[in-house]
Amino acid sequence: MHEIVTDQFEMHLRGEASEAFHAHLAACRECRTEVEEMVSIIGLMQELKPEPEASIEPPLGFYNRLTHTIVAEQKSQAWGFFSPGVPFFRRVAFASLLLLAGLGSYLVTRETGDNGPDPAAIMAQHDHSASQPESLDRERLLVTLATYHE
Amino acid sequence: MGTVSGALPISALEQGSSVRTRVDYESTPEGALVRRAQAGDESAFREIVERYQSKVFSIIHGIVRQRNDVEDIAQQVFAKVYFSLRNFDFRSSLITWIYKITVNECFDYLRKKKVRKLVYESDMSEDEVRRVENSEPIPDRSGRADSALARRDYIVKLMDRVSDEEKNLLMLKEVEGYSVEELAGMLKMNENTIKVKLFRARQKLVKASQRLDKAPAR
Repeated sequence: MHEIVTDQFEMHLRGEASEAFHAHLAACRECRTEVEEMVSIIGLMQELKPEPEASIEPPLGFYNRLTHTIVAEQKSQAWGFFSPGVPFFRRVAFASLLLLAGLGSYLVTRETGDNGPDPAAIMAQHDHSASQPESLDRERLLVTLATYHE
Repeated sequence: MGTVSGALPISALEQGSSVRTRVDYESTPEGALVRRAQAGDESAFREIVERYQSKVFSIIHGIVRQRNDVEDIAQQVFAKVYFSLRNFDFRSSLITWIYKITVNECFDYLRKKKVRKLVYESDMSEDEVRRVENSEPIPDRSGRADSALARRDYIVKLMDRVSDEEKNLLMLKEVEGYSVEELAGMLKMNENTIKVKLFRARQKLVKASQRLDKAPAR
């Protein structure tokens, strides 16, 4: 669509487009087709115009029925507070999934990042040659028992 | 002159003046009425309903053409007005805002009706479907109904392919008959913006129409 058409289309609808506009339409098939289609659709839109002779007046008691509708909607909105709908549960499920994913990734990074106790240290704990003599342990136990009796 | 204009507080429009003064809508008597309704004054809300109910009924009937459903849709429109009035920010006149709600409600209704019809038809035999299709919608006057009805169905389908804003703009321009200048004043937008938006909306309609014409008929 060429600029002259976009610029002057509104004027064309009012029958005020310039000669240059019409000359362009005569020369440019693409613009001519699109303008014709737009005008045709605008014509179709007249079908949505209310017909004055078939006008419909609000029936008696319309306002009263409207207030009932509003009260009913207010009640349903109030209940809606206590019984959240599908979107609420969808949000909860999504939040739970996010939480699980977060926890999972935390655990994984913790396991890989923290290598646990050094194997050499564990071996040293179980290394009997490195431990204190057995007699020393026994003496410490006897002292503990003696103080307990006292 | 558009049919909504009677309710507009922009006197310049009625005089056909080319100089558009943007009215501070909030300071008009109607603005004061809206303020009262926003503060919870039920009599003010009632006044708004009584002032615009005829217009709303007329717009709805123009779009859906189903007398039986007009009141239900109008109730939905005014219920929405009631619940959203607090958020009304005076960027347009009240009737422009109500008009937008009404148009959206009508197309929502037509969309839901189409879905209901498809679900209903899926449970029926071909003969039953044909019988139902021939029996509805009931035209107001049976005379020149057929082709007019087909044209209406077609344009309703096309309008369903554009955004709510574009729908509202197209309806105000092509159905209500407002000029670009008037729309600019009513919607507080630049005239060029309105022109561009309208042009894009029409282009969308043309594309939708081309697609619809190519699609196999149901």
